Amino acid sequence: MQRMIRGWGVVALCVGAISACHGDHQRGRADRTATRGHGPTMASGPGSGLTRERVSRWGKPSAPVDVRLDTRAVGGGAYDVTLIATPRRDVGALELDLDGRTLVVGPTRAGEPRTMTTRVVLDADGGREIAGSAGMEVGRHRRRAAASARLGAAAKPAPRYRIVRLPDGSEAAEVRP
Amino acid sequence: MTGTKLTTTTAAVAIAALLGLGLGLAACGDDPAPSEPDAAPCTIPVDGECRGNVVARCVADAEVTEDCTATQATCTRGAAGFACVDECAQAGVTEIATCAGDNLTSCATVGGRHVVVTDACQVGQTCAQPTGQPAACTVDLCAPIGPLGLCNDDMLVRCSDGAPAVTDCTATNQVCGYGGDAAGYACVAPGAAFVVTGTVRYEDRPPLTSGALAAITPVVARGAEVTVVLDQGSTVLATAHTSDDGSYTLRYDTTAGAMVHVMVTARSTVALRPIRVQRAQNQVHAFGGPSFAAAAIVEHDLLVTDASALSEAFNILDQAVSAMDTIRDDLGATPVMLTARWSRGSNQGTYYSNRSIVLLGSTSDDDGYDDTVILHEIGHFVEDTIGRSDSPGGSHDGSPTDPTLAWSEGFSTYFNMAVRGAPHYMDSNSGGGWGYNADTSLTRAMAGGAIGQDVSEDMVSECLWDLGDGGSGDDDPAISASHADVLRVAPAYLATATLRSVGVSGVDLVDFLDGWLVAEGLASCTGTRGVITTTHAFPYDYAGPAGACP
Repeated sequence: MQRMIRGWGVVALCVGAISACHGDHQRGRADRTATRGHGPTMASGPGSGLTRERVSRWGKPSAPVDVRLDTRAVGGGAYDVTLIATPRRDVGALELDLDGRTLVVGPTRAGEPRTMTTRVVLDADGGREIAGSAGMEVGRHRRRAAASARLGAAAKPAPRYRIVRLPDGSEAAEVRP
Repeated sequence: MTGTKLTTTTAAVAIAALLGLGLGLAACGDDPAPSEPDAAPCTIPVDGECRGNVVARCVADAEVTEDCTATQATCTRGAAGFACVDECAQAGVTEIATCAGDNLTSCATVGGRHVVVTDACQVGQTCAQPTGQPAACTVDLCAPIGPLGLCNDDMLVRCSDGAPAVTDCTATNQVCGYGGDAAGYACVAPGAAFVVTGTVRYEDRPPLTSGALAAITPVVARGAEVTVVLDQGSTVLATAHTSDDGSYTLRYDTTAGAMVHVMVTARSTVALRPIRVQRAQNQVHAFGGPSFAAAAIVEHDLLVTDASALSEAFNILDQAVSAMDTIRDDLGATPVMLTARWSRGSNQGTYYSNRSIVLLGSTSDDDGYDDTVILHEIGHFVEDTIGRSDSPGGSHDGSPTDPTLAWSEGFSTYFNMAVRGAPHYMDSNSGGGWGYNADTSLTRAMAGGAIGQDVSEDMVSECLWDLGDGGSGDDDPAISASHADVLRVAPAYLATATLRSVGVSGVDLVDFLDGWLVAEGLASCTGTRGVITTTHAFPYDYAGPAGACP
C-alpha cells in the first residue's frame, strides 16, 4: 500500500526491490510497472537501448546500472515519476536519487530492478526537467548513471542557425544571439 | 567517537522526523501501527543515512547519531556505509597548497568542514612547487602566445626558446596580421583597408573532482578559426585563428560602411592542431557576433554563451587543442584530423570511432563540459592514430575485464590525466555525476592470478599515473619519469613492436611494461616493481625484450 504524504508531493519511496512496495515478490509486477509509462519517457546513459549498441565500441567508463524514468500524468498538472534502476552486476547497495530525494537500498542482484516514485505538480503551463540517478561502489569509488524526463511544457527550442560557407567549401552552422 | 549520542524513536516519530527534514518519505506496505516508544525497531537503512551533516545508523536496534561537524568531517557514503569523512584527509590534501596540473589544491575549512579547494591558475600561468615551499601559480610568458603568435597593434609577438620575442612590424613598413595557417601571425604587407581585433571567449563550466560542474566561467578560446563575414550574402572576407590568449587580428577589404560581423568557428585548420567540432549534419559549430560597419579599426570581443548552446562546442575544441599540443610536443607525432560530433540534445552516445569522437549532449548526460570524458575519447584517437589497440570493445565499468579492453580504456583515461596533469576522471550527469582519483585510489590485481588475468581499467590508469608522476608531489619517488615518458611508449614501442606471447594476445599492460623497460632501461626495474608488483599486485614477469630484471 502506498501512502500519500500531504504537502510533500511524494507518492512513495520504496526501500527494497520494486515488489516490496506491493507486499509480494513477483518479478512480473516489476516488469509491468517499468513499462507502464505515460507521457514523455527518456532513458539515457551508456546502458540504454540504441545508445548501448553504439557506445560500447570505444565508449566512456560507465556505471554498471541501467537507469530510466517513467512518467504518468495523473491530472491537475501532476505527474507520477518513477525511477527504475537495474544494475548489470550484483551490488552491495544502490543509491537512488530522484528529483533531489535520496534513497539507499541494500544488496541488489544483477537484473533486479529497484524503483523510487515521486509526484511532481507543475504550475499551469509550466514545464520541468526531472532528474533521476543511481550510484554504486565500483572498486574503491562510486559511479553514477542518470536519466531525465521532461514534464509539461516543452523546453525552450535550440537557437536557430544559418549556414555560412567557409573558404574551403565546408559549412558552418552560425548562431547569432 | 566524538559527538555521538544514542536516541530511540518509534516508527511514527521517525516518520515525523523525516517529514521535518523535508525528505518526504512514505512507508511502503501497510500503515505503521502505533507502538510504544521503546518497542519499535530502528528504521534507518542498514548503511545508515545522512541527516544534514549528521550520520545516523542503527546499532543494536538503537539509533546512533554522530555530528560530523565536530570533527570537521562531512557525512558521506563510503564503502562501509554512511560515515563522517574528512575530505582533506581522504584526498591526502593539507593546508599547504600543492599542484594538480595547473591548479592549486589545498585544504580549507568551510562551514565547519574540511573541504578540498582547487584554484585554477589564471590564463598564462602554470602551477609550480619549489622544493620545500607551497605551490604557487607562476607566469608562463609563452602560454598566451601559442604556436601562432599574436599581434599587439603592429607589434608581432612570437615565442622563441621559451620566451616572448617582439618584432615591430612598422620598422619594415609592414603591419601585423595573419599570414596564413602555416605562418600564423606575422609582419605582412599593408594593403587591406580595414582591421578588426578583439578577444574570443566562451562560457565554460569546469568539472569538479566530485563529478559535478562548476559555475559558468568565461575562458579564452584558443586556436579557433575566426572570420569576418559580410552580412549581405554571408560572404567570408578574411580568416585567421585566435592566439592562445584568445586574441585575433583580421584585416579585410570591403565597401566602407558595409555591415559585417565576426564569426568564430569551433575548428582549427592549422596543421599543428587539425580539429573540427561539428553538428551531426557535418556542419561546424559557429557563433556570430553583432553586426558593425566596416571601418579602419574596430575592436570587437566575442563571448560564446552557454545560452547559445554552443559554448560546449568551443570547450571540446579547447580540450582537443590541449591534446594536439601533447601529441605534437610530448609524443613528437604529427597530428591528423580529429572530428568531434556534439550538439546540445544529442543522445547518440559517447564513443570513439574512425578518427571521430561522438559526445552526448542530452539533458541527463551532457559531456560537452566534461573535459576528462572528452580527453578519454581523444585517448582512443591517440591509440588509433599513433599507438595501437587490440581492444574488443564492449561496456566497461571498472570491474576486471579482458586485459586488452582494460588496457585500452585505462590508457585513454590516463591520457586525459597526462594532458591535464591531474589524476582525475570526472563525468557529470543530471544526477551529479561521479569522479575518480587515480593517485589516491588503489586497485589491485587478483592475488595469485596469472599474468593474463582479467584486470580493471582503473588499475591500468593508476599504474600509468604512478609511473609518470615524477617531480614534486610524487608519492612513489623510486620512479622519476614524466607523463610524456609514459605516453611515448605507445608510438615508440606498441605501435611497431612484435609483442611477446605472454598473457593474452594483443596489446595490454604486459606489452606496455615490456616497452616501458625498453625505454627506461633495467635501472628502472626497482621503481617499476614498486608500482606494479608491490602496490598493484600485478604479476608481471619482468622478462621482456629489455632483458630480465635483476
